[in-house]
Amino acid sequence: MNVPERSHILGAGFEVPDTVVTNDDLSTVLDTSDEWIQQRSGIKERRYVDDDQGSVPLAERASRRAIELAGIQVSDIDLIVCGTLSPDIDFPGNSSLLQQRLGLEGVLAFDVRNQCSGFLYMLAIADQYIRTGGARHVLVVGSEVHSSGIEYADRSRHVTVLFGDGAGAVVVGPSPDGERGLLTINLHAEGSYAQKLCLLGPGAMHKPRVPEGWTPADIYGWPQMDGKLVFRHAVTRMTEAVEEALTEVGATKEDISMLLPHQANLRINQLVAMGLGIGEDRLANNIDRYGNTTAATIPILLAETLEAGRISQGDLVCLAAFGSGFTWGAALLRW
Amino acid sequence: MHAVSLCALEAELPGRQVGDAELAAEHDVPESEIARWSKGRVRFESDQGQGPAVLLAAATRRMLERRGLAVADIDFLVAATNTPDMFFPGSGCTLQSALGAPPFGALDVRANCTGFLVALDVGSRFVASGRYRRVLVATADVPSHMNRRDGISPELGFGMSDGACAVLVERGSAATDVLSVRVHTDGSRAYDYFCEFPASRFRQGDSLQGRNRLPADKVAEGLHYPRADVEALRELARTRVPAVFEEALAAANVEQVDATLVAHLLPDVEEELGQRLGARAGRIIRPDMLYCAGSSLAILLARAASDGRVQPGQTIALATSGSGASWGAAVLRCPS
Repeated sequence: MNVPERSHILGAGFEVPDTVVTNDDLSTVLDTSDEWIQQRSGIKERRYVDDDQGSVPLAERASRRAIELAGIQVSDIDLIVCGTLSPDIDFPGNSSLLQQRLGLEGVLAFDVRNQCSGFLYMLAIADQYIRTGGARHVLVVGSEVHSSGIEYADRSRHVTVLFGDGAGAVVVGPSPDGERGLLTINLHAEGSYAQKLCLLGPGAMHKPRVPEGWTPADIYGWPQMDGKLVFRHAVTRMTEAVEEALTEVGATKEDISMLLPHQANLRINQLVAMGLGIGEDRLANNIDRYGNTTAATIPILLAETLEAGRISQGDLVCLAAFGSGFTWGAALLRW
Repeated sequence: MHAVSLCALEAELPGRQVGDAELAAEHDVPESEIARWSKGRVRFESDQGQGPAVLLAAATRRMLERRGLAVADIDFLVAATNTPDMFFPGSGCTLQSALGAPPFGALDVRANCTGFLVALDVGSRFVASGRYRRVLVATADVPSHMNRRDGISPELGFGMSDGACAVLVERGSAATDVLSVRVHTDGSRAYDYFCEFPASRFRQGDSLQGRNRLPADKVAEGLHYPRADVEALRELARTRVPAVFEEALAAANVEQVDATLVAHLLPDVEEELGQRLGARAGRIIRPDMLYCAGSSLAILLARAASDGRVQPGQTIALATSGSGASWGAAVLRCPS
């Protein structure tokens, strides 16, 4: 087998639900307002699924689009890696359910649970498989349905307003020319902050993992976040990760053609871009329309940015993420 | 590509052993019904607060100490579990915290009953590609905190054990120790062995406030407990494991192995597989403890290496199948 030295993203697709939920919609059930949400996050609206289908149907449509744009057939996929923190069922994960919908029975499929950094971790996995001859075309999918897992109560409003549903997918394959593709990727984590942005339950550190007498009123079953701490670390760590990636390939901040950051908070991304000296013309964001779709943000943003023609062959594209774990990282691709 | 050395491994089992009689008394279930699934094997159980990370931290510290390494010598972590400490983030992060480790990447994979095989494959590829020099592959499961014990789904409630294993793979200077790993999935059989809730696809009503992935009425119905179709799992093992074993041997370019380690939820399936794999499998080694999901093979390998059932330098195979549905096999050179 001829093992490629470099992998590349060959196609990117996305799918979001049709139903738009505005800040005003949320203000009917939470003590919040459009002004409060926009000021703190830049989010104007997000999408919610309006049926009981979960994120796998979204993932399927995003995947088929990515495969089409990659110019390959579904049957060419020989590895599926799915990232989510909101799996359709507890186990097996979304990868198994997606595989069945794509008709790819027999192909290795597994889940990655690295939250907002999930896409970068999965991209690194795909890169390893391709460069060690373990796979030729890897389907990397981030898909989330948060709308059924966030608490519509005032104590959780700082979390609830941020999240939306959606899916993004890419096909990672051999670089078409050995030059374009993933130049470097770095991955980090700092588990001492694990409970600063988390969902405690159900979790096996508790016996039983769903405690006797548990009710939905218990915060154990809802996401919790120390927003100020997350914000501060996100700005610092994403900037560091981008600088680390640039150093790794001998490039400078000025060389970055387009920065695609994880979409957790517009203010975080603006500060990261400002610290790197990157202006609006080299920064992509869509959080105003979709909110935070965790593992799906970067592939959705990439697919949209490609569709809009904002990335050209030869561009240096930078991806960066930070999130629960804490986990973070950055990647540089020559497009 | 770089050679991958399987340089250390260490299992950690909870200190508390729970016998069939104790379980029978605690849960008001006939001991004979429990024995039907335990087959006399040992069952280890974690205490309150003791999830995968606690077990893995103990295993990792001991392994590093024996190897003369520090936590800071690790470049990357791949964790695999089906029973994470928290719903998120994953047990890789909680393990990293428990170890007081520097901010290396902590990846969490969920690959069900083939969790160790997938984590080993991923970790080995990070080393083989040159991305990292030394990767900790950490696999643990604590099914006793998840399964029901009222007599429904007895194969899970009474036929499983808790446990953990840490494995260190690093860039080798000679031939590779991880000769092949082959894993397959069949999502059309996802419901052969599954747990439905929490379920993000479930909204419970049209109002925003009604949305809840773990509603109280579903908990009351017991839908947050795993369920298994044992006949389907038996059939999966019979039909798929021999083929993937042959596939792994072929990929490793090995005609025969010295021993094959087999793990399955159903002990009688392990016995049957021992016969089905044939002479090329060498000596069949089965666990003496109950099934620990995706961590079973790693724990079995560590215990077999420790008590001499496998010897340094021997070529061995691992084989398993289960939830996913997934099945897989690996061929390794046994570490010293």
